[in-house]
Amino acid sequence: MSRRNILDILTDADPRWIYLLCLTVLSAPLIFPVGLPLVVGDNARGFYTYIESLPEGSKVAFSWGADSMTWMEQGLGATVILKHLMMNPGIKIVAFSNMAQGPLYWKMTLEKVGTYGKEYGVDYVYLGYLPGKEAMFAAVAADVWGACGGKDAYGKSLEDLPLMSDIHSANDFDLYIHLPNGIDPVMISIRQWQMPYEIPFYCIPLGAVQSSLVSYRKTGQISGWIGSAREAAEYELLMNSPGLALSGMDAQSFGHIFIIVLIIIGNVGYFIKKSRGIEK
Amino acid sequence: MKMSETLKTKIPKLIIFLCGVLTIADLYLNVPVSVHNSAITLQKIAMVISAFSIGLGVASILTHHGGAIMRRTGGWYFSIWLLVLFAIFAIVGFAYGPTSDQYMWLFNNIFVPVNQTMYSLLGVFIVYALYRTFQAKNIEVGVMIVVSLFTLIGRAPIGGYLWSGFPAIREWCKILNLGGYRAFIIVSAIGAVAMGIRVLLGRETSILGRGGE
Repeated sequence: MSRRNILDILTDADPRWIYLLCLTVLSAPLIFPVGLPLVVGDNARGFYTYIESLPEGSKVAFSWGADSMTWMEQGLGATVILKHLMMNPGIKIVAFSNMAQGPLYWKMTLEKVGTYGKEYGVDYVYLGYLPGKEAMFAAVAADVWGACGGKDAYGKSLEDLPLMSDIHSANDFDLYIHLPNGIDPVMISIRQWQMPYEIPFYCIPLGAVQSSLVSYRKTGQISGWIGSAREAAEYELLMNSPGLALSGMDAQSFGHIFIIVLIIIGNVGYFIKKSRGIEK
Repeated sequence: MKMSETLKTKIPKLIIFLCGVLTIADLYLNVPVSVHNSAITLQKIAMVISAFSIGLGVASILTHHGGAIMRRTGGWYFSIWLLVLFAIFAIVGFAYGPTSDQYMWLFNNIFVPVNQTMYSLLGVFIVYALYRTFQAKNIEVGVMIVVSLFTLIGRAPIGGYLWSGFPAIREWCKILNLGGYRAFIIVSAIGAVAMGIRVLLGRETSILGRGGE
């Protein structure tokens, strides 16, 4: 093989080889787990500790903004948080969705997680999909009953649901959790829930959004979050309840290493070409 | 003509001004209960108007793909497939309810796997794009690549396993990000306030469907 061919391989490899390698690198650890140790970070520990510290009878508002575009990543965190809330017998949950697909993902996740003996209407209520973006968040925070027309997701009157008798506005909740499908819904939650009602606010953002949230945590507007599969896996570890996130961590490690190696190979090839005057 | 201009511009501007002032007053001032209730009613009206956008989306899909089929434009047969699936989901949703077992079966067995396949493929394409484009052609790109590499290795569990410094460096990279992002937030907030004032004063007409003054 000539030098020229090696350079071509380094810089212009056939994409099909990259796809095949990617498939191999990601699937091999799933079939043959290595079990690399996972260190639990501050984000997962803080979120977990806060939910654990909630006194019996605490009411949690859960903005279930599940969206098909982001569910692949956020679903892991959303599932583990819902599971934790359901497992804790003293916690009451009122959930609503700002995305049209929210009710479907809510049902799918609830069937997967289970209710751990919680009774619908007494321990948890789902208000369904509520359109309106920022106006909806403001309306629900100010008047829960009015914003959903006095009915839950299944058409039941809120008067028939004992849990709702104590809940009228954001002031009646002890914790607000949001599953946002981007950065804008987080900002909306800060503007319409956290700041006016001074309610502790945790969220389950996309991994890419996390760095944008750091400044809001420093001001206390966001109490904490778990973002990405990594932190969902850490949370599963804290709950001693291994799930999909934890089983994917080896694949994530090898996937990241694979990308790093590819970037390095691409750059080595680029600089060799540049030194020989092939690339300008 | 004068009446038309009033209907087109002045009345919408007046409505925007009143809605804006009412909402802002409710947020920042200690207003009477009647004003507070009016602001909440406005928010509920906005929710109802938003619900109409879903119907608008349906109409847009039907018009766009119906037209593509009629004109036999490129890939028109995909439009038929889209409308067939649209009809199946809509009929099952209307007949049994959007969270019924029947609808959930369609959702879990058609939508979820197709959706996951699409986004998984996107991930693989991004890997290839990184390989082809992440080349340190200047100092700025070089810095970005170095930060990316530390983020990638620091984020994965194997990073901390190999060397405890990787997660620490990744955390430190957040400080770089924080400085820039704070500046961005402050500037964009000032811009948003300026834009809001323009809208309230009727100086911003792009929201009425035409260009600014």
